[in-house]
Formats: sequence, C-alpha cells, structure tokens
Amino acid sequence: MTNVALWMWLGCSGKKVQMETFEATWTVVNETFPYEDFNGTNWNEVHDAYLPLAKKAKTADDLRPVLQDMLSELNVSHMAVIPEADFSVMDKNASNDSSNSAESKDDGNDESETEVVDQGWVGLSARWIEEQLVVTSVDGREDVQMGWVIDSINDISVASRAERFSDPRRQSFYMGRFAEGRFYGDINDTVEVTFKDAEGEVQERTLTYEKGHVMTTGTSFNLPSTGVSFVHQQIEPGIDTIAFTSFMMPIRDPMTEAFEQIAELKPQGLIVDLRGNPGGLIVLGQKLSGYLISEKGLDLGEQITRDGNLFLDIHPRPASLRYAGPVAFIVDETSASTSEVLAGGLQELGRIEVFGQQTAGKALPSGVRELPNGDRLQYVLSDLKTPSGGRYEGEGVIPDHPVNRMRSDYVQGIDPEMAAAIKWIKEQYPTKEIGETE
Amino acid sequence: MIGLMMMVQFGCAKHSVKAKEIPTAESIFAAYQAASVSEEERDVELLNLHTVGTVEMALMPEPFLVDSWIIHDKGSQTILTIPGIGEVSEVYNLEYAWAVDPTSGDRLKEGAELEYSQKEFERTFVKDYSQLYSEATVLGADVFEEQDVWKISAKDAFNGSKATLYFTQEGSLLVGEHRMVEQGKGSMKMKMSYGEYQWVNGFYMPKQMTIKTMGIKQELTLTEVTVNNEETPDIVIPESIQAFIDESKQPEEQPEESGTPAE
Repeated sequence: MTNVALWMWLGCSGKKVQMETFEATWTVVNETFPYEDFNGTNWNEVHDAYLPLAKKAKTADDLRPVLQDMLSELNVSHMAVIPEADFSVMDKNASNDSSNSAESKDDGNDESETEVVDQGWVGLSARWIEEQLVVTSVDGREDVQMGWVIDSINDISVASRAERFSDPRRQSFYMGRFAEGRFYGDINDTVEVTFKDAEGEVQERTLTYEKGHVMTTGTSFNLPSTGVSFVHQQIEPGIDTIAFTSFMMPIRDPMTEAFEQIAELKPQGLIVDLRGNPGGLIVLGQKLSGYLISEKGLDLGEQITRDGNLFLDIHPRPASLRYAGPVAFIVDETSASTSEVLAGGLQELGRIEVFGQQTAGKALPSGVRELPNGDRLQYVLSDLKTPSGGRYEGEGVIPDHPVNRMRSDYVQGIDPEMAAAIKWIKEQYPTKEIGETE
Repeated sequence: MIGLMMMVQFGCAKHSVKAKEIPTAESIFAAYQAASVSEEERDVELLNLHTVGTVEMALMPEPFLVDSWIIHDKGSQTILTIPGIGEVSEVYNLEYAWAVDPTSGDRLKEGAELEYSQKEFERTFVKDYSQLYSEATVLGADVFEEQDVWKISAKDAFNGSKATLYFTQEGSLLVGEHRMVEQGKGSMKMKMSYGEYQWVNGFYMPKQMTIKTMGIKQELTLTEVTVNNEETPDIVIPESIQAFIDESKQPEEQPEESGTPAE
C-alpha cells in the first residue's frame, strides 16, 4: 500500500468510526432518555441536522463538539462526551502530554495504562464572589491567604474565562468548577496561579499537588480517575463537621468510621459541608441519610425511567449508630447531583437545615458507556423527583438560610457560610454550653 | 436484581409445536415443562441449586463473580464479589431477608421486600410451569433476537404483574421474558433473554442470561451449575442484621441515638 493509499485508508476508517460513534450516541439517547417528548425537542430532526456535521469529522476531537452540541439540544444536565484520554491513566513521569495517551495505547504499552496516578490537592478552594474568583479556603499552606483574588491559572485568564458565561448562575457554577478542577491533579505536578492579595499586589505562586488527605478514585464506573477527600473533625467543642468532595467509593469507609466516632463522641451538633461536591454514587447519599433518619419508609426521591420507577429509599442504621442531634448542611452553587439529592431530600423531610447558596440544579441520574471511538458518553438514565414530587433539576436546592458572601469576610479569615451554620447549631442549645456533657 | 437472575426457570423443548398453527399457551407451557427435565430425573424433587458465574455490566470496568445457593429447607443466598466494592449478598432464610452491602449499608428487608424475597424463593421450586402464570394468552408469532418465537402475554401468579414470554417455535425454548419487578416501593420493567441452553444434571438450563433495565445491560454467564448437592451451606444471620432484628422486636429498649437533644 502506498503512503497516499494508506493515508486515504486511515482517513476513511477514521471517518467510519466517527460516524458509528455519532449513530451510537444518538441511539443511546433515543432509547433511554426518560422524557418521551425529548424535552420538547424533535430528536429525529436533531439527528438529521447534525448528521452532515458528523460526516465531516475525521477524529474524535472533530466529532466531540458536534456531539456535545447535539446533546445540549436536550437542555438537561449530565449529558456529556468525555474524551478517551481522560481515562488513560498514564504515568505522567513517562509522558506529561495526556493527549498522547490514546496513541500510546496502540503501541502495545499496556503496563503503563493500568497504573493509576495518585491524585493530590493544592489546599485551596475558590468561588465566584462579587465578579471575582476569590480564595475561600486555605488548608495547610501559608503562602496564600483567604480572600486573595485569582487572576489566572496556568496562564488561563480568569476574566476571559468568565466572559464565556452571560447567565450569572452558570457563570458562578462554571468558574467555581474551573478553580476546583485545577486545584486537584496528579501528585507532585504543579499549577501556576497568579493572585492579587488583599492590598492588590500581584502574587505568583507555583503550587504543588500534595497527597494530604486526598484519595484516588481510579477509573471506576466508567468515570475518569479523580482525587477525593473526606474530612471529619471537631470544629468547635461539641460541633463536628464532615466535608467531602464527591460521593465516590473511597469515601465509603471513612464515612462509616466517622459516624461510628460520632456515635461514640455524641457531639451536640453536626455540620455536613457539601460545597464544591459535584455528586457521584447516589447509594452513598442514601447511606449517609440512613445515619440521620430513624423513620422507616422514607426516601430521598423517586427515579422515573421509561422502564418504571425506583425510589431512593432511606434505610435507617441501627439506633446505636444514628445521629439524632441538629444537623446543618452547607451547599453552594457548585454542589450538584447527589449533593442536591441528599441535601434537598433531607431538607424536605425536615431533618436538616440548609445553609449557603442555591445549588447547581444538575441532578439527573446518569450512566456512562464507551463509544466506538473510545470516548465515553454520559447520558441521563432517569428523571428524578423530590420526596414531595418536586424536581431537583433546574432549581436545585434553595437554602433555608441563604448566606451573603463578601470578599471582605474571607480577607478577615471568616468563612461566612460555616459561621452561619455554627451559629444556628449553637442556637439549638440556648440553655446549655456547647460541648457540655450530660 | 441479581438474585432474580439466578432464579431463572429451567427450560427445554423436546416437544416442538407446529409453526403454522398458533398453539395454546397451555400446550407451549406443557411442552416446555415436559422437556425441562430428563426422563431419569423427572420424578426427582429439586432440593437445591448452586450456580456460579460472572456478570458483566455496562458501568463496571471488570466483571464480577456471582455465587448463588437456593436451598429448599434453608433459603437462598446470592453473593456478589465486586472488584473495588467488595462482597455484597442478598439472603433469605425462610424467616428473614436481608442485604449485606458495605456501600449502602447492611439492612433487614421488611414488608414488600421480604415478601418479594419469599416469592422469588418459592418460584424456584414450582414444578408445574403453568402455575407460575395465570391468564396466559398466545399473542401470535414474533421474532425475538433473530429467532422465530411464540409471544405469550400472562400475569405473574406470584405478584400479579404482567409478563411477556417468548418461546422458540422450533424447540420451544424460553428465550425471552419481559416483566415488571417490584423494587421496594417502585417497580421496574426488566427485559431478560436466555441463551446457550445446556444439560445440567438432568435439567436443561440457559448458560447465558442478559438483563436490560434502566438503559443498563447486565450479562450473566454461568460457569458452574449443580443441583441436589449433598452438602449445602448454612445460612447464618450476621451480627449487623441481628441488631436490626433485635431492634424490631424490642422497640422500647432501643439504644439511645447519639446527639439526642435534651428535653
């Protein structure tokens, strides 16, 4: 075969697999989308409209934006095409260019692909507050202060990124995710961040992803490997907090241990911090709710598919492990999916009080499956209703206690959402000192 | 869900029906029933069934192992060994039903869930296939996974839900089954298909089973099947489940929950 013929053959076979991928994506949605009216979209017409664009695609990179646009016609969350490269857990010491990972797969270098790279964190969180990306928490480092404003991350301008979003709620969500996504990474890698400090002086830092309390998910459930943390601590005498960054398998055992300790320590109040938590396995949300609910027969909501319905039952733990004291949940605009189902469900059931910001409203249950070109399709499996029949999707969870965030608070080292939750917990025991034992 | 898969009925077909005449549901069931068991085993009572296999599921990167026992005088237990998750089991001991699950938490099944476990257990030991369904009607000829079949509409005699059954016209094998499965307070349509039938100790059974529900496909491949084993495992109530049983028996003596607000 001549080089030209080989090139033509490769080009044709590339197009063929992209077309197969296009059809597979359309078909999966056609067969599984929970709303038979496709959310008011004519799905057959959508197919015909995007087919000519798909035919032009020679590579997965060409096709991905076409598929993403096609899926966005449905106007729901949890519809995405995830690049194959995100699943190739190459050792970055061998190759720092993740875009090469798919090519390396064909080299027969399978050993490196099975190596999961441990994830780390730079110890920062940031949120879109007063039209700026503000550092809202600093953990274990002294070279960055709360309240600093982030100007760029790895030379990506925050201002230019923010301009992409005209809707304030979307802007707030995506800018928060923009920061969170870059503050986790392969351990010992670095990220370049430019800040403005409280006095407006430019501060440049090279931050290293450090292990700390970060656990690595691995590529389970067809999802890319990510870092996740679970922290249980006593924030003040008599008040415990639990904060975790996603509902993925590594938090399962720490959650069990945390509630065993809580049963032993008997704090007078509990705060569950779901800020920045984009969700994960709903079964872990059900598990946590079982530690807080004693009544049988309750649920966090109802999944409705074309095949039937499934309730997200709460199974109360034994009384010796349940916590019956006051519970505050903190959520914000980056809390999504299972975070919303858990917080919203327990809120409706009257078990908790919710503090913070309105959540993302991206709560539909989804699955992930491999496409012919190696990318993964995340697709909606079911509609989801709250215990009273409302919807999490769109509106999200509205806090019982909305908290106004100002940069000036963070500059002073104050976390206003946590402060509001602590204040409420203390108000539940007006006649008794927090931490006082029986 | 997996427990359900393991309780699939035996099927066979020595008495095929004539393709040009639409047979009655009763005759299809009878043909299926007559051939389910070899001549030698026909009078033998099923005492227990042990199946081992693997399950491949769309969302799981690796297949997981299934080991299931259904024992006439003890109950049933299905143990799944899932990479990255651990051991999950669904158990019914003729009195209680429970799930041991490190992810969602161990729990005692009560009410409709207990009843469902009991009925699924009893279903395994029904000798006359026609007793499993009432109001069975042959809807006509159809094609199921490229096979010419008879399509039967029926009502599940155990839970009253509707089912659609597909038997091959040549061979009268049960190759497909669509039915509503009660899941706690909800119910979900499951589409099951059966293939690669084989003789096992005088019983004709499918080695391959596929379940589709909620847009997710599970494929079960049996690697080992034995019936009427001399030794069977004891079904023991674990401590975590005993705590629930004790609690349900003595609600007034429950241990105090932590953090109970002072009156």
